[in-house]
Amino acid sequence: MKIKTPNAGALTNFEVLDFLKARGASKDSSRVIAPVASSEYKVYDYLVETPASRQTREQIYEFMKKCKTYKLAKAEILNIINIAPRELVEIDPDSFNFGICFIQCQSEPNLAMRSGSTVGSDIVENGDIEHSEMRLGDQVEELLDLVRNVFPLPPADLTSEAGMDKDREETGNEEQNEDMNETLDGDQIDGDRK
Amino acid sequence: MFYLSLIEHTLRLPPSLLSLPLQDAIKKELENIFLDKVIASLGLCISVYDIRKIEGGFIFPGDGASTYVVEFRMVIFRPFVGEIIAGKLKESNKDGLRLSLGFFDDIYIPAHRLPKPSSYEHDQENRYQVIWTWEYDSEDNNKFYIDGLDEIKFRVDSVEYPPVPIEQPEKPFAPMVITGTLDDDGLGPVTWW
Repeated sequence: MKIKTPNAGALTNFEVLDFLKARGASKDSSRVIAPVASSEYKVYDYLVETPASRQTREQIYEFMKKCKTYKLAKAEILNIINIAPRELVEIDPDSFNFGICFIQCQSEPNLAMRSGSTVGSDIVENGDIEHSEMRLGDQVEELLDLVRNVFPLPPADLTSEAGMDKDREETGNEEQNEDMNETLDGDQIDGDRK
Repeated sequence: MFYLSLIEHTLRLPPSLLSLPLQDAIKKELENIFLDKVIASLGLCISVYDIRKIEGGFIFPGDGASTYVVEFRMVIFRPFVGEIIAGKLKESNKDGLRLSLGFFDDIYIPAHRLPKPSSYEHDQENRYQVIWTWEYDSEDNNKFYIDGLDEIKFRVDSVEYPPVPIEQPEKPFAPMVITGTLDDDGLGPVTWW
């Protein structure tokens, strides 16, 4: 066995999911009949729970086009597409590990990256995007808005997100569960640290 | 997380597959050989993406099967250092956590890579498990638990391929080990943020 090209292109989660779906993988009872191995099904099950299952090719092309202004590295774009962040959790310039850590990203496949680009050479050491504050500054919010617009959440998730945002603004709301309280405190404390 | 790799392999097509069209037979044989196996410094083979070239078809003397040289692309799972992945908790002991992705289970978060300060206490239900707690503040109401309920986001620190041991060790051998960290903003169980 000879490895001719160890890295012939990076794939986003969406692309792998699409490939498995094209082979016949699905959630229902036709599992036994489809020509998909059980180990491939495990990958399919994992990917279906990620934001990649809600993306389309057009969304990804659109995102690739629009994110050119931010001059992100290929690995950073890949990370964003795979995770599809919806909120800016923290930018922590003081710690050794720079980077924006996004939560709940919806990413699109990296079809554009498959043309022989070497993602490995752009390895992001720390976090989603390195030195984000230095490079992007105010543009971080814009980038986040771009992600939110290009990868919209399905209607069911939208209402729950709206509910969450509303809860965050109220303090000491007894109806919030413990998690929401912790998030609120976390945000306030992070605000002080910044 | 996933890459494509171009691989060339010389494979012997067993006569039992001769009834299938050539491409299907070769794909089946490749899947038998490579699927769910780890190639050192390449990663875990997920799936055969496509077949680029088939050459050969020689039959060696004394052999009943033909041999082909096949060039094909394979989907490989290999996270890069710094990638952020979400996984489920598989087990947690005093050395740290172990996470699983369903198709890949050898993800370890050593105790010193958990957010500081953290502490653990023994789990009442499982004998050898512990529950890790992140004490964000010194007050009691700011403790964050790592329970097994939701997904845990971690960042990849390193991907190692320990060499195959000569003798069989007690633990099952893991050909690919991912070490991660939870010690940063936004990492950890999803409900923390």
